[in-house]
Amino acid sequence: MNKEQSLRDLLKNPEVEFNRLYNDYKNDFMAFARTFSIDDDSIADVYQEAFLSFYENLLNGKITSLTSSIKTYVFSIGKYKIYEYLRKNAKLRLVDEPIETNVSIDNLDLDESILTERQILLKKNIQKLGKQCQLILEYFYLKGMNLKDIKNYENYENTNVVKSQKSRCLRRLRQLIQKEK
Amino acid sequence: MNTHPLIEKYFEGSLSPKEQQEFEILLKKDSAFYEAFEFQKDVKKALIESKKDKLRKSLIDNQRNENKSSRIKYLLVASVVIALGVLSIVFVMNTKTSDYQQLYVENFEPYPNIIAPPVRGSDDLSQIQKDFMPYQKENYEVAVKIFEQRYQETNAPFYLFYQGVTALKLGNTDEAIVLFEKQIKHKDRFKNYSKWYLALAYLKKEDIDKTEILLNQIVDKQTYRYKSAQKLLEKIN
Repeated sequence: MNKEQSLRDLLKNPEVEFNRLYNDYKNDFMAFARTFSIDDDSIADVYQEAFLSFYENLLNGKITSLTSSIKTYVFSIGKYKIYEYLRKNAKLRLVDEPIETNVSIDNLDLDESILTERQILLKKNIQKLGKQCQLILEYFYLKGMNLKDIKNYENYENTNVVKSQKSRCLRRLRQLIQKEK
Repeated sequence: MNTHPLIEKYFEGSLSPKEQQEFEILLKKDSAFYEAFEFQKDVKKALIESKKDKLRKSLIDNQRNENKSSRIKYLLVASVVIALGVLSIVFVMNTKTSDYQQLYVENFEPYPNIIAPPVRGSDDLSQIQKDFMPYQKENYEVAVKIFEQRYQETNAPFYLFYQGVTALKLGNTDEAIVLFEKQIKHKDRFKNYSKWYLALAYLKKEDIDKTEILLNQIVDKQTYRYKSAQKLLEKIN
């Protein structure tokens, strides 16, 4: 199985696949992170956040293929988060060595995002859309499918039907969040 | 709200360099364009955060279960050793069989209720919404009977499709095969969905010839789940 194949598998069934990887790498990560004198609860938090960041960067298209193994990516992100944790808790002195990573994670979104009011409302109201709307938005914005792909995948008559349906879904979302403002 | 073609292309990742320039100019000069783009960026962000919430919950649940199970692990060591011994014998004897069943489990999931999803905040349910309620609530024993009855009354092919999916979910594979074959003859928009589920039903029966024929048709015509069909074919061969 090649690396890109693995990424597709991850996104196809993220809950199952991520939990499997989470369990597989956990002991190694704990052992690695303990060398920084951090308590186990904080390591567990950092470890979880590393997976969520990895997932987010897969979803937003910033990781489209891997130049290294998934484990190396997760550990690099985890290492970044450990340093962030140490900085916040003033345990890291300025003279410490910079992070040495095996993979480039410079262009990734790694910090915990604070959502705007509109993003919070959207997140809540997306759940109120019909299943078909949720699927179309997910296919288009998260799975990188264009209108033609969606037409074929969901067996629509033509791409214009998909386009109108997507526009209706966005309009409905606007109406829903407008009501709550 | 019609989405501007350039915004569409931005999210598809297909802007040419020239279009990219035009896109950036519009962002600066056209406030409606800017707003429409920002809105869709927020929709994408909200979708990502929803997905992350779901994964976070799953990781926490998994961890909780892991902790619980590690406490009783010591007590089970002896039985696990014996069980592993037995399982490896079974595994060696049935490797191929369990592979097909495993592939079936990995690929089968009940098709979402797109016919009549319940609307939040609305107390009045249409008849179709009521019909789909047991399916929505995963009460498949009841759902299969309702779909059967409604199909007889209305002859609407989608009832046949959902009856097939429900039968398959309940493990009534032979019944599901008959239903999907009948559904496909209706030649409606659910036909291609039925083909995918029919392929899975044959996979469950381990009738690999028929599974392959159907999967090849799905891949050739690029219909519903064609990418999964392609992958499944690779694994079967």
